[in-house]
Amino acid sequence: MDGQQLHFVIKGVNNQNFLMEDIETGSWWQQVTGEAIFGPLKGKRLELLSIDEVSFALWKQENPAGQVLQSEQEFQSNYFRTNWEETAAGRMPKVAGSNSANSPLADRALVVGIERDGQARAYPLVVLREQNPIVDSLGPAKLLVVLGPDGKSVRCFETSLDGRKLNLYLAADSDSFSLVDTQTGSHWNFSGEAIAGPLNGAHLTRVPVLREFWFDWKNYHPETTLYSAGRLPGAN
Amino acid sequence: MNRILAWGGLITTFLLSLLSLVQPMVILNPEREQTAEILSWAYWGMRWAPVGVPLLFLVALVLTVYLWRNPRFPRSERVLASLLVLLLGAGVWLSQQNIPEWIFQPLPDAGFIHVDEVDYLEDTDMILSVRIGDKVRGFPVRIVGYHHIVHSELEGVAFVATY
Repeated sequence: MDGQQLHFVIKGVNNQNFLMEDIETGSWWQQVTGEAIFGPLKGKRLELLSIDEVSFALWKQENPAGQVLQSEQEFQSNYFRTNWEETAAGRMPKVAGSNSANSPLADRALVVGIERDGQARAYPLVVLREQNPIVDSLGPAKLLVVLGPDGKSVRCFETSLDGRKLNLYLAADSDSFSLVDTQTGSHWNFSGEAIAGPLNGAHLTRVPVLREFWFDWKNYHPETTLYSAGRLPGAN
Repeated sequence: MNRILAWGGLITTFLLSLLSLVQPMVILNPEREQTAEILSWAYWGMRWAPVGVPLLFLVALVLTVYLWRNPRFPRSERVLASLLVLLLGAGVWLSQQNIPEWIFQPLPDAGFIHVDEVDYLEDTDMILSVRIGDKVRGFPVRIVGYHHIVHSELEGVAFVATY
């Protein structure tokens, strides 16, 4: 930050999203936003790197030379179990101040959050599993939110390519995952790359997504809209 | 200084220390709701405690020495004062700790291995993928979710993976 490298430690929680403290200045940073909320660096924001949260199966396939964080033996008994998310809601603390009775989703319902041009929208994973892919627009951007072949990884792409809007659908007759655009009949993989057809080699622009609990996404995006099944693209 | 003042000082230092140590723990309880205002109390309490509690301990120590050096004061009071100082000493130790790290221990050095060597992940486990240039690093959610913070560097870019 401003030429100084910072090192962080966990310090506490702010409505169940954790706080980090940098040991150089003692400032407190909110994890989900990367913003310093107390201390000498208050108001500064760490640059968020673009990340991809996918299943290990998919990651291995796409990154055959990738490096993976080692599992340290002394901590292994503390690490989360496989498929921990499936029972997380029952084991984690209740969300304080929750108004879940009036909320369209349970506090710990998993959503995929997208922020674009000052607008935010959450896409419930349960809806995406039923309606895959989701064609939507957020602001002027035309988006495709798609669940991967593993049934867990989610990516979002802009469907405009070189000024032309593409209509993409999931090919039902394919043995492997394949998106097809109606304009050219090109086939696209889950990385957003055209692998066959007239647009072979083209890449769709990926839009960052955040896989989150609904309550946390809403906390930091209070004006968020929520996608509901069968919704028309761009409708509020 | 007289006995009442000494005891007033001892009790005040003890209560102030207790407040500064306990207050952030209460405020930052994950089962409680936090507001910006109440969070600022926790912030300043935790900034002050590592310096303030040792200072209060020194004050309490001086007062206890004063009580011990005066044979007019009952022995029971001198022993009680000593106990308070001992407790304050424990408070000094506590004021230097980062309690969340007792629960979520930090990862001192993040090591990485080739994906083909990984035998501790299932195909369905989620991984956070960071790509910088041509290099890719994966941070399994099962691991980062425990440590919460993992420092790393890739292609000259220092970053921290958090979950």
